[in-house]
Amino acid sequence: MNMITLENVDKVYRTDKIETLALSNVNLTVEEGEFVAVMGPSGCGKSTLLNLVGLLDKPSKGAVRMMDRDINGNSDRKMAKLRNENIGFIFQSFHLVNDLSVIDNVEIPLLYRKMSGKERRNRCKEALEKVDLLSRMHHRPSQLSGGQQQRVAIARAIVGEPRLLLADEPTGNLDSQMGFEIMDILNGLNKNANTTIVMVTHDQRLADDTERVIRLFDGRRIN
Amino acid sequence: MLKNYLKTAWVVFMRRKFFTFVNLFGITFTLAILMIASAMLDHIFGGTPPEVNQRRTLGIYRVSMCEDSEEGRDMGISAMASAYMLEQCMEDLPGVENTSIIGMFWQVLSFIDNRKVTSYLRNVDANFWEIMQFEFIEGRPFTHDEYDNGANVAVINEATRDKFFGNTECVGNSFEANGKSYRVVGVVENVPILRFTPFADIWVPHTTDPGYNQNNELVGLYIGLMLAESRDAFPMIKEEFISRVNNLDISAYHPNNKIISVPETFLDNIARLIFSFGLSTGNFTKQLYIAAFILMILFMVLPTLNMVNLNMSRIMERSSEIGVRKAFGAPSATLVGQFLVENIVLTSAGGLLALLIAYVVLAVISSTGVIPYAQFTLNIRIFLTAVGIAFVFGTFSGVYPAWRMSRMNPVDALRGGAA
Amino acid sequence: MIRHLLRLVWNRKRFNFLLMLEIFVSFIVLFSVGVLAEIFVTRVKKPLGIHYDNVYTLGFDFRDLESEWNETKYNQIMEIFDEIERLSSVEAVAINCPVTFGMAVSSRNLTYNDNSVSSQYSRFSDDAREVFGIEMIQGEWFSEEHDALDWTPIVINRMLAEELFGDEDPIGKPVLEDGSMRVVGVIEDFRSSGEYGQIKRFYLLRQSTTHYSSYAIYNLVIRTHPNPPEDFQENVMDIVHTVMPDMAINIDPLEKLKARNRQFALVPLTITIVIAAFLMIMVALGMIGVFWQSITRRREEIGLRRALGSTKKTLYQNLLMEIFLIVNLGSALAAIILVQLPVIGVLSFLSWKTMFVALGFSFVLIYLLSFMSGMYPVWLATRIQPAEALHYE
Repeated sequence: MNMITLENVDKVYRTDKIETLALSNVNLTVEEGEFVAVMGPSGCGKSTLLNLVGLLDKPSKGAVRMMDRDINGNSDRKMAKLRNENIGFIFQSFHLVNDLSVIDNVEIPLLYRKMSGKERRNRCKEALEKVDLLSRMHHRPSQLSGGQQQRVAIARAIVGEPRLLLADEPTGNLDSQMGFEIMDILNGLNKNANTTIVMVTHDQRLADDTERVIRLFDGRRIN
Repeated sequence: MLKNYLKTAWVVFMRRKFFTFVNLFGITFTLAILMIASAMLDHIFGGTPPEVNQRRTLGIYRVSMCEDSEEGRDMGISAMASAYMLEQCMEDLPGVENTSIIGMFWQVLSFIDNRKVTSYLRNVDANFWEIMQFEFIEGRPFTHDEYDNGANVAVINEATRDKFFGNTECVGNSFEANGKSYRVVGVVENVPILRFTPFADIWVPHTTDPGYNQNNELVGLYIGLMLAESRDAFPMIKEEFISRVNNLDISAYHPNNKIISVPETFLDNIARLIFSFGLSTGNFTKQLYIAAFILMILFMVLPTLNMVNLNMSRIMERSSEIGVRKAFGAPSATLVGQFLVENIVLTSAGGLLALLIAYVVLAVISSTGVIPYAQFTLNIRIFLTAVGIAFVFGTFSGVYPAWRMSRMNPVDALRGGAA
Repeated sequence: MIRHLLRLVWNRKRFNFLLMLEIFVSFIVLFSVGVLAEIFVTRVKKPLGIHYDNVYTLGFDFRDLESEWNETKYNQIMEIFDEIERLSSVEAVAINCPVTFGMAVSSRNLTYNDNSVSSQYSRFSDDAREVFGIEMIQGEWFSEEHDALDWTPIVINRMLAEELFGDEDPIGKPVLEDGSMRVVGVIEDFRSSGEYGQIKRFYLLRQSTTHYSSYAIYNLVIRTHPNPPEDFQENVMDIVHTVMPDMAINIDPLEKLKARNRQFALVPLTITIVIAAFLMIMVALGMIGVFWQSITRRREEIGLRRALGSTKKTLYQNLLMEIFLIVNLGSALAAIILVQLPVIGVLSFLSWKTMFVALGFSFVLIYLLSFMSGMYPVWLATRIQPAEALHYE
């Protein structure tokens, strides 16, 4: 099954005066269980691509399909539901909520589902166990190292057992040692849980670890 | 440096116009209310004409008859003095330059073309015109001779002249009040009703009243005024007056009775009434000031909290800027200084606006005539009070946020928040 | 979800505390207004017990009542009484001292068995019923036959009847230990201080018009036909001055006295409401500012929540819920403290009904206030695009 499909997608950003073409006629298919890296220089449209794949944004032209269903025209509620149940996000700058403890951060995606508090807690603990941070569950994010914070973010991304994991330069803010640790976790998820992963990265070494590399340049796909 | 501060302040205010507006709204409203209140109090208690000698004047506003019992002191009668009692106790007091006995104002009726006109009439003696300095529009006060002869003469205020004679000169003309005819000898500017001691529409001699000072009762409807040579003489006058009061023959009343009457200013009288029901001869004005101050603080709690909240928000918004500055070595004191300058600039601007609003509101209240003849104005005293209040306000609302700011850790601040 | 939001609010306690404190104080301000409003509304809705239209009061300004009152004065005033009654525009004249709606009050202690209460009173002559249109709910009104009694009849109001006699029938019962005053009738809750005045224990003491008594008569009430002639008041003054040339008097429609009472009651109420309204506007604007700021500061978090599956609607509800949690904490704390006050005796004059109406009033208004200040900033929050917020560094 195709996890995600982009067909002749254009994305245009309009501000008051300037019109920027961020993506131009991009075609892309990611199959279920794939681990794909997206590479390209700054400003080439990587983040825009990830936003479209993550259903955070809609294309200006063309179609985005998720599990072979067109998402164009979906309501806000439906998009939110799709994201909540099928997609996990990992960001370069972690985006943890500082005012919440580690376990409360991990819980966030589950809050938007119908689930008992007890079950939520159990699943959060399982997720934290997987990233080996159960002992830190009552800490605040600011009390953790960068690598630990990113592992919390991964726990949050996988707690809802998504079929698709999107990682936006997950190791960009980390040293290479920690970077490899994160890559190990992602690889593990891909192999063991058959989670589809799309990862944006600058780092050729990380890209080499994946199954397929998609290169973007100036809003176009070049491979 | 200060110029730089002010420039930054301006930029900050313009960048967040909504915040600036909300802050200004709160400050202005709070200060305007306080200014209006102080203008009104000043109007009642301040020494404006005709009470130009107020600082040197003591009044006998109240006579209380008390009964000392085991449980303490009970009030029997709380009233005003009789002319007899005032004459007994005020005559030839040392340190007193001039004395006057004035009646309480009361309503009198006149009919002009079937239309009922009510005015307030006050019986006074000739000394009254020496202790009070009225502004005469025409004519003069009545003289000692006229007073002694019981002439039916009257001084009226401008509003009464307009009611009886239209807006024309009227000295020498006569009018009727309560069926009695009086000849006008002078017209004075209106005195507001809130100025308790001099207020009336019509002033006539006691000698026009056949019932004046005809018995030896101690309580009546009269106020005594004493113009002291200087304020230094006040304690001496009080002491001598009180000892004379204590020697009065009160056998006609209840045997356990004690009579209490104290020469005091009008403000002292109000304070004594509030804090001791007139049962003590002590001075309670300090308590009155403290109570007023507490009331003011209570009123300012909410506006201050509001401003603190807004200031905290403002600081949080700028936490990364603060973090950068701190990281580059700006001392906390400089940042706090910048913040306090901003706060004080804002409060002062609010103070000025409040002054304007208070001026307008007072003018409107004065012109509607809700309070007869009231002419509320702002003066330098009220302005200084306002400056004082604004300063207190600015400090209160600025100190806590500034303290939090100085404690902000640059690392946390750079991360954007966790304050 | 509620628990999650509670933890969020708790973890931001230092910031939220100030907001809560502001709500706390606002709640107390609203409560005070609520108490005042409830008291006044309850009062206004109660019947007044008398009719005052076309009634004039004629007051005699004696300089010193005690020393001046004598039989001559009595005869002069009764002469004036009769003269006024003969005026064609007059329906009835009666004695009423001190005058209803006036500033002066008399009061004394009444005792029945071991029960003693203090009550306000005023003296009325037999015609007062006609002047004021007083309706009896029990017993009878004063009449000339009462002149023969060796005790003074009184008519009491419902409140006094209930507090002095409880369930017993008050008619014929003495109210003083020596039995010199006895109840002949009961009327509705009569209020001598106007519609904004408190209902107080009150009794009407009979004043005879047939013989001299040592109680001074210094006020008459006059009921006229509708629209008396223009010179009515002047005629009355002339009558007085013919009999008592130096007497200072007041003639006023009772409506004017009542209006003065109303003004005395309403001016402080109006000032309080205006100030409270301004304070609340200020608080509302302040909260808009604070919430707005808080939304800006939490852009990233909000974007994240949207990305992780919160719909706009859920987000809107959750953010409002967060505000309500803070508001609830502040106002519940205030409410708990305020409820204690009557218990420890500070606000013991408040009935429980007033208390709860005022609390309800404050809760409704504070919710409304916070909802109105939260609405716009929270709506702004739902407009945050997750894609932008999350790439914003």
